[in-house]
Amino acid sequence: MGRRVAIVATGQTDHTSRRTDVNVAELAREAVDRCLASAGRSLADVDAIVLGNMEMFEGINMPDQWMASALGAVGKPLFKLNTGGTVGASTAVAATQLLSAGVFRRVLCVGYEKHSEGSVQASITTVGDPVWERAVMAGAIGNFASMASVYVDESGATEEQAAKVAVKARRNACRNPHAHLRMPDITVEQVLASDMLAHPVRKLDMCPSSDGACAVLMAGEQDAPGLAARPAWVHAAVTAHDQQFMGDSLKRLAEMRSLIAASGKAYAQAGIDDPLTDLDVAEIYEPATYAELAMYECLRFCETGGGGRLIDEGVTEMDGRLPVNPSGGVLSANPVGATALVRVAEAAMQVMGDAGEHQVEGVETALATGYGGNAWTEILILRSARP
Amino acid sequence: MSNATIIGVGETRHAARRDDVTTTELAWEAVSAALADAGVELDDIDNAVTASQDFWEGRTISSMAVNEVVAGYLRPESKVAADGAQAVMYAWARIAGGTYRLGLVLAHCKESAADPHAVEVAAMDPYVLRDLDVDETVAAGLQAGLLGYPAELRAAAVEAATRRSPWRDPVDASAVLASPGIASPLTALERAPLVDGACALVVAGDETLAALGRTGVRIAGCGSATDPYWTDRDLTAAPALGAARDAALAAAGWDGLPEMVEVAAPYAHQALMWGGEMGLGAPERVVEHIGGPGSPRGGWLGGTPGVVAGLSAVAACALALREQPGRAVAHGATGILGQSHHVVCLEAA
Repeated sequence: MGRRVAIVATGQTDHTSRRTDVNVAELAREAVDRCLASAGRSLADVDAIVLGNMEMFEGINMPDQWMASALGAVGKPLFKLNTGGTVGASTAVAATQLLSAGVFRRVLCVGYEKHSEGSVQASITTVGDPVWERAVMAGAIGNFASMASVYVDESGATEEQAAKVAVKARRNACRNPHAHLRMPDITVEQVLASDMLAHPVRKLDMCPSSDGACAVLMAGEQDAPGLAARPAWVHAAVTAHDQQFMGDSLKRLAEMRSLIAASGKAYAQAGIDDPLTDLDVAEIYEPATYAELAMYECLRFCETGGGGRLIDEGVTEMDGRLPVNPSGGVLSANPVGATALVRVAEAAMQVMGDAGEHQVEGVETALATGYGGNAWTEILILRSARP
Repeated sequence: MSNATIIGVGETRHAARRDDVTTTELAWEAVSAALADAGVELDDIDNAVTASQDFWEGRTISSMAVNEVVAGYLRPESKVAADGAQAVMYAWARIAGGTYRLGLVLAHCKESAADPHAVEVAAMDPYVLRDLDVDETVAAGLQAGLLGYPAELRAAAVEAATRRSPWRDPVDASAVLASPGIASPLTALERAPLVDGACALVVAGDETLAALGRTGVRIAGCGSATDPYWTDRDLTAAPALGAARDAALAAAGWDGLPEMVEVAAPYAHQALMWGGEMGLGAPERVVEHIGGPGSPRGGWLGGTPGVVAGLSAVAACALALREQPGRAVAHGATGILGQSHHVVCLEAA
């Protein structure tokens, strides 16, 4: 067994649709500075940096190299990962493994995206295989619409239940100063009246495109207790991918195989038998409302087909049995290269007691997920207790 | 903590255009060879680290193309957008920390499928440099001019490298000098050829090694470091290479460099400069090294694709250590004019 690893500090920009006051490198540095300041540390305390971003979204090849000085990486190892929407969580998984092996003592994870400076949907289309899929790819929305259609058919979930997810997210976001979409007066009726983008997904069912960055400082067991009063210890860090062709996973969202596989492993590693009981909070990567309902099922928060029931019963509301996405989630802020790291950061903040107005009382165990690629999954389970 | 030991090596035929295979098939060519070399099946693999660049592949999340051929289905694959030598460092940590027991490392690039000028211009600072249409060849010309190595010495480095290469026909220094200019003072043959190819390793932890009853080449230590962006640094020095070397040697617990050192540089003047930074000595001495047994394949100039070059250097050293046990150091670089450097120490008893 390797060394134990914990998150000791987090920092985020205020996510928004367009940050014209900063360039890409400055945006990322803002998160880095906020993270290190929150722990009273400097870049001198960082041994290595793991960066996550989607190069084609901003059209910058090897952005890590251009940004090296801004990231404080000069003279240090700089890892640049790219695994899709999962990438932010991939950086946390990589840092966990590098620290666990004792290669480094303190690693800074950074994720960013500046969607306003690129063409996201055009870039997402190039995710598809160039021979078989690209010609019929049409960005993210059509992809999620097809997924949602399958899920609705399989589960019987209703558009009202999906709309309740949108309402929960945007209301939770009102307590999160970093969230992009904060809509205190949003209603189910308003969601159902929003523009239909691609059946059954309406405008308010989808996540926004945000400019934003996130940084997370992680440390090994010899340093973590001295860097945070209440570190968020990593009890599981698991990755699982699915196949690359959509046609090979017809029920992709309704039966998200990578999420089922990864959460099963993570629960086993963390000793979790009943997630609904054993978890205190979850920050999941829900790119669309229907995805959150399906993910409840894949994560075993409820029985198969029970996602709609869970939202109807308020189980995942802030005052519910298992609050899901107190931050407002991806539906309220989505700088893709940072989004999954935001989930990890928010889960850590809940464990560390640093979540401010969206803090859930008494969090000892938190779950974070990343979603990306062709239904790929990263999952981390964090606890206040040392493993 | 576990050792991480290379038990399988596979590499494609690197050629200017591999129109006979898709990216997936190209990767499988290397992976299947590595699996066969290791005597294990794809299903035995519990994790993979791949290296590729989206811009060269023309595909967002370029590892999508290889996910299934590295056992990524419902298993952990992660991708570094860097030279494959850095992927070795990540794979080493995954095994050493006990997270996984049997891993694949893959680097792949189909340089023929991209417009090199467009890809390189996209790596330039988007606010100032990109509009000048500067590519890496132009930058390399500036660097070579600043370094001032004689053209004959640069040409000798190419000749030495190609004579060690399994992928290229030998190129005489006179041919290098006579080749067309690309960015003064560089000529066309001073740049490594653009080729398609992939390289893969199978890396095992101690338990797996024992279970398989195998020996292999141990990854003794890894180091990586980054310099400032190319317009913000002295182009005649690469302190990150020295830092990466020192970190790798320290991790390995070695006092100095072994005789076998494979440096991967895409331009002749960089082979001379980086060889010096590595500690191989004056440029003339570096040429001798490249042409001798201390450099198994002549490095990147020997004709490996970008992104793959550092992993190919590791593979070359691992294969050489099988024949003659001892120690070796392999190097790879990422970024314009080699901004990040990655060093891997290897040892076989």
